[in-house]
Amino acid sequence: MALVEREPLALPSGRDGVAVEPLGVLARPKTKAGWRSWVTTVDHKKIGIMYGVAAFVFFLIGGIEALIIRLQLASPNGKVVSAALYNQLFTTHAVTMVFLVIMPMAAAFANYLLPLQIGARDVAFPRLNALSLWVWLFGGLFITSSFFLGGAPDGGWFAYAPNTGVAFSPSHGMDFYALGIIITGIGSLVSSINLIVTVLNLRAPGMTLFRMPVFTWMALVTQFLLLFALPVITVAVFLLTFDRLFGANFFNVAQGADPLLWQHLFWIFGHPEVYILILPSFGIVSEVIPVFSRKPIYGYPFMVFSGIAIGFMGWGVWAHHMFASGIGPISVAAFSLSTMFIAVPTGVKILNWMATMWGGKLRFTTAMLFAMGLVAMFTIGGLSGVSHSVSPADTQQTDTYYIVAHFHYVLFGGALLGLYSGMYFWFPKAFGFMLNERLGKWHFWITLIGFNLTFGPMHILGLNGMSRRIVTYQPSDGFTFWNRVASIGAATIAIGTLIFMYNILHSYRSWKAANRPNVGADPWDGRSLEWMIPSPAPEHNFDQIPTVHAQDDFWHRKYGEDEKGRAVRIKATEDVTQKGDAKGVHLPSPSYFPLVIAVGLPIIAYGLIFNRFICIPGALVVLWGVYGWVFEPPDDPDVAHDHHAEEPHDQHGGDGGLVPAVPEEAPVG
Amino acid sequence: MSIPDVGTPASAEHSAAAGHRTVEHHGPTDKQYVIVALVLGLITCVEVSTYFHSVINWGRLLMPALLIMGGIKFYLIAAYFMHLKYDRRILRRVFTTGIILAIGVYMIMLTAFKVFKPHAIPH
Amino acid sequence: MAEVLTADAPAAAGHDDHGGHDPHHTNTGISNEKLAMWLFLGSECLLFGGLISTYLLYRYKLRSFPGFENVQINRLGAHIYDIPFTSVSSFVLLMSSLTMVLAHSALTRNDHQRTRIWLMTTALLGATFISGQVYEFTAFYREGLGYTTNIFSSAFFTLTGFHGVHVTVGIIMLLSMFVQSARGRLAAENAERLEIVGLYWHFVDVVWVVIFAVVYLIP
Repeated sequence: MALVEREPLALPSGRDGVAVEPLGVLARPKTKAGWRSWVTTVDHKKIGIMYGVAAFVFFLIGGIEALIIRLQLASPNGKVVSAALYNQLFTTHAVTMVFLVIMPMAAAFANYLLPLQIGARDVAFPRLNALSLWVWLFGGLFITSSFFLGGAPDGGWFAYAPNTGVAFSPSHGMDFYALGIIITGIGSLVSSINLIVTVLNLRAPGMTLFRMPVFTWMALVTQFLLLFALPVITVAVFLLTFDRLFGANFFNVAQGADPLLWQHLFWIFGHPEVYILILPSFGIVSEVIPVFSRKPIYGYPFMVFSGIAIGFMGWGVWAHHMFASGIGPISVAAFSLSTMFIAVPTGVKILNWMATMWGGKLRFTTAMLFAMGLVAMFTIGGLSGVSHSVSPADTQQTDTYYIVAHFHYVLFGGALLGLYSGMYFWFPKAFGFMLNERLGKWHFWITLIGFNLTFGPMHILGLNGMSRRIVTYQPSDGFTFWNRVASIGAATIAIGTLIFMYNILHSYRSWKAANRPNVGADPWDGRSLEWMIPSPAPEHNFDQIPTVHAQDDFWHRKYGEDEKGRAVRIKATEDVTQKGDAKGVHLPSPSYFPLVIAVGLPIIAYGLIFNRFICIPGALVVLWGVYGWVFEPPDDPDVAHDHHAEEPHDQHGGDGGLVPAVPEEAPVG
Repeated sequence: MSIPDVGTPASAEHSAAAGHRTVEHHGPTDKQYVIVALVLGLITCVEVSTYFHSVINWGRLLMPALLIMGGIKFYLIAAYFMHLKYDRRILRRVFTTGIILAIGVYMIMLTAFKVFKPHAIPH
Repeated sequence: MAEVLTADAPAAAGHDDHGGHDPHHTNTGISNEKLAMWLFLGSECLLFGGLISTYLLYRYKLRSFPGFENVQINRLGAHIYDIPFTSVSSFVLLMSSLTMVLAHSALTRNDHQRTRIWLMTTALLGATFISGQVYEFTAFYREGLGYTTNIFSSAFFTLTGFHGVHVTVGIIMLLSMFVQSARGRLAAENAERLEIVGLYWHFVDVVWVVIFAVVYLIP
């Protein structure tokens, strides 16, 4: 190749040896412990844990809001809160539970588990991962802070415009909602791109797409849904923001605007969002049930393809949320039909879970109980969902408590029970100690009973005509008895949650008191790769990246089959797990700048609401973060690269295909 | 990996030899780029000419013609300038999924608003 | 954002043999950054789709509004759209895509001076487009079509404004690339970095192709 240099370049290009000082103030963080190591971490496991903890705190906030709502409705003519505050409570309850609890809790599992399940060292862009966490967290705090800054959002989580315009919602609440959704949306979008790239690009050798665990698959589908659904809600909330802050006319009906525009945009996002909330939990139970049935998942390809099908079909059903809004008979008929069809892939999943359990050696651990709880409760919620797809019935049910019952059966009975199942299942992997099983079963049963007491009666209330979102009712309405039952149920759920929190404390104390016995790499006799490494997972994940030969690879390293097809142990677990003692594995370096950028965004948002001048420091903080980020190399040049020669090669496991953990790459400079 | 020093021809050769990825170029040549740009410019001229009634009377064909011409421009830029034609299949899939979803959901939405009903267009 | 996890394992397959676009082996053979950019662009399709649909809906709705029954928006000629003017600025943006690919192509040939010339040309063409947009906006405003005037104007300014912000971000990215090249930090083996910036730039151009046809030309 003829290379003609026209002009010599000033500096050697590419990797130069010049040490870059990233804008002075925030030097490269070095600490490995303490709070500083957490706020600057780019480790997907720490980020996942922080997602989980923060989401659980928001869960408590959203739960308290729900308890106040149930207290208000416990008896007719309730006087616990004013009507205005009641509107704020049900709105923030929903916004919190959807955007700040279930989505990030699923993100916690995805962050923690995806790299482990596909045999990777971290996600594709570790700093962007930290950015997603902090942007989401500060966005969530921003929304929650509205309670103390003149009133929370009060237009429902669906925020139907023009009801949420300045004329009908004059407080700053809906501004907090719109800007908060934009901020948390940035976090989710970055995270979705990051995780998709991770799954597509960073799989271990041999880990083909159709050997990936079902959880990885469902998380992947979820990230694709986020990728394509978030821009739609972004458009909608931008239009609302421009209306509210700059006097645009998007939802100004007096100027000829169409109020259905918001509804369409919101539900084009909103229905994929429903699957964004439930698919991770589907993935979790698809991991839990095979392990505790000692059987591979029944019909793995059906499981995967039904997940993909749900992902695609989820885009064609949004208008079933709008049957009562006058969209016309043809639209109603078409969306009615597509909604009935989407029940099919979901039914496939339920069938496959039951077929997995059928004939299996069931172990009723807490994780398994929660998973089975999901299968049962989600089926109820799914069936009431099918009843909405029949548009004449839906017209009757719209905006009644029947709807409230339905989506709590799928979101609490589906998504949340699945997440609890995952918490019990992967807790030892993340923290190194098991949660107490006896307390766990108490937690399960009390939650399950409380849940059914709360939301079961709402079906009846709804069919009796009790409207959603009403602040109170009269004794003559005949709603008193079932409302009281529901309120007792809500208190029962609260007790269940307290037991869960006590369980964590109790299990930690007894683990410490017993001088921290190691739970071992594989406490549940697991099937996927994350059980191959010690608990808690070491910072570098795998000593050697394993080579994958089959679906449920880790299981097949432990078990073979006898002539009757029964599983027989061929290797002791200790022989196939890794020790976690690899040295000198090259990991991405921590950084302050994701946090800096994330702090700047809410400042800009506060500025837009209260005083545009506040935007300037906010923008400067973001700019500082961006430039600090750009000038700080992702890998600290000061961290020694000199252990590469001693990379441990696979000595055990009899699996010649293992590859060294680090690419053969000479030290820089 | 050694520091590629492109300052001198000798080291440029060295970096070309060491870095197997330095100079290979799979996309179109510069000449092809210019041809594509010329075609794009030409289509734009035809598009703009529709604005002036005097050139050609497109009649009912105006809207489909404009959409098709826009589509061709879109394709040419995506396929050649963005190298989609030469790149991995998965990139095409990701991008077309986005486009198809966007066209699909928004067309359905606008249809539900009856934007495309013929009587809606005033004469 | 140029950040790669360096610790991903090389697969058994050995060296990448696909035109060498990625510095580290990946399962798809595409570098993380490039895949991420394409995913982002796929996502952006839905964003601009939403804005364009809003515009189409409100242009249609405006006709059912008293006083606008028989208005063909773009046939208002000088009153609303200045088609010859916008045609020129569209052409400028279209040609900036050509200079962008030429910059990338020059870089793959190790021709750094041309890379910088084409990069600067691209950025200047982009800036010309933005100035044209600013001129157009002020002209509309002076003729009495402000952001809050009616549903049509809100939708129009939001759509083209979003696009303009995207172009501006693109110009900033181009200028950073120019500075990197001038400081000798953009070698031929980093050509993919420039290609990724180019992808974004072409996408912005492609969106304008759609906007130009749908917003300006279709009556």
